[in-house]
Amino acid sequence: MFDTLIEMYSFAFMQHALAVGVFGGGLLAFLGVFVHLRRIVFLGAALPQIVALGIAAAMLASINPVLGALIGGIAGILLLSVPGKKSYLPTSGWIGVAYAAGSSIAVILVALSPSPDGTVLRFFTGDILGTTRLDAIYAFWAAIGTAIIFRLFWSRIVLTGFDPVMSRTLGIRVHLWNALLFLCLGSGLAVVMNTAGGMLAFSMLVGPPAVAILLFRSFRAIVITAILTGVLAAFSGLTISFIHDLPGGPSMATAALVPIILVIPIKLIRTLKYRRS
Amino acid sequence: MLTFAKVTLGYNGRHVLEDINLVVNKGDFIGLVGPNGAGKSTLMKAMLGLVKPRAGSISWRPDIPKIGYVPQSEHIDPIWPMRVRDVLHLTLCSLERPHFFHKKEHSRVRQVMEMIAIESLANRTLDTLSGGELQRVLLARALIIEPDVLFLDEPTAAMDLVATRKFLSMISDLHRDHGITVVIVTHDLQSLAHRAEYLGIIANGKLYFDQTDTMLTSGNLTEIYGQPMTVRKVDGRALIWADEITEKAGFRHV
Repeated sequence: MFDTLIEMYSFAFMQHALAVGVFGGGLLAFLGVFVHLRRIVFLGAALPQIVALGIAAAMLASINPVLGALIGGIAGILLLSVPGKKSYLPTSGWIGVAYAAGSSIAVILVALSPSPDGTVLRFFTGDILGTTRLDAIYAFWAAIGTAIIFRLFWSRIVLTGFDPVMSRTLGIRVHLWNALLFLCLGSGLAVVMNTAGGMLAFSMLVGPPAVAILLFRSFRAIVITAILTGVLAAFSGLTISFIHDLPGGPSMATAALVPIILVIPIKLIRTLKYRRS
Repeated sequence: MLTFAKVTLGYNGRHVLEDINLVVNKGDFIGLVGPNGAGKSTLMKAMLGLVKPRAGSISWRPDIPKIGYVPQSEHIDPIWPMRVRDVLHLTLCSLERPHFFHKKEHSRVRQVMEMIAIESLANRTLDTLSGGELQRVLLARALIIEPDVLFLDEPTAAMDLVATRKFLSMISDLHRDHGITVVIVTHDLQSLAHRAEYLGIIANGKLYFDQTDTMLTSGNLTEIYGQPMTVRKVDGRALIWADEITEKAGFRHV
């Protein structure tokens, strides 16, 4: 078994795929904790579509797709955070419009793009095995950058999400810290979407943090569990996909979601015990 | 300290409160009361700088002081996996230093938990607290920054009678012992009658404001609320009730 693993990961494309899975998956799993706690999961669903639009536009304009993904992500976050109290359409409505527009226009741009079909379509379906060394480096730096930002500004990012009104009364610039969180989110989605597609990005964003939140009520335990689950899902999904000749991205995405099914009984048992006590 | 001069407040082209004149001095205990939808929370948001005036001016002299804000407990989302000590620690850290994972817990956290008598709740998560316990935690969170002014937005809305009384007594003690300026919004006029030095009643888009003793007369309340109100002094405390809430609604209060 060990020899098989060594042989499997001796291939450069597997190493790159694993690096993107581990760094990008771990990063999105971590950021997903805040996506769940802030109750903005719908935003997490729409953003990959807008990032895909950015990638497709970049391919059409023959510029770096990661740059397009980043611009798409940041533009999407800015657009979706603008509709406020004055808008008669609720925020969820705008997110739905963005989701539909992002996915449909991206397909049109793909059709217009001079790039080979397979190259562009991977942003939607994912082609983790087509990952390059540069993609892995992007994922690594996105994860490191986010880790540094959160290490430095943890309390402000948490406090502004937990109680934005109180934060404002303390003179904290809530929009600035929200923007920083969303910048990290946009970067994470950009690097994962560029190689692994929207399905894997969204699965990593919602699956591992859901497992952690269902299991624990300690912030530290939730964060650590979410990251570990994301990393393990990337590794196990990629390994299984290689052994059974399955598509890599969907295998990793499924591996990120399967633990939810496993923890639901644990959660139910705990709830029953709590009620009895 | 805080001055409202001819202030108009509103949302989406609608004026909620007009021509508000109000002065909050250092060390005041001010109660703001009024029926639901009268604009109590809007007025508090304006005091906190969260709502800009449509007309007039709101000014702090000499500078904006340290503000402690206690929201309604419903305002807090229990999904956040925060222990009580984390909430206090986080608030302090976000002002003093942004890092979270430093090991030394600030002595101020323990001090405030003792002051509000919530040491036993320190390791409980917010979703396991009762309404009264959560409100005390939110009060501790506001006090941890050693505020000059304490703003409380309907803090007793989720409490029963006993918890309400205990909580308001705690606020009175803080005001008396620490000299904190208190501005409290509530719809419960009775509970503030013998605690607040000044009373503001918000009704019909206006703020009626004066010393509590001056405000609390049957004639004043009848005029402000537009229905017969009676105020009686019993052992130096005011008892307030509506004589007839409305006959159209089919019931009488005596």
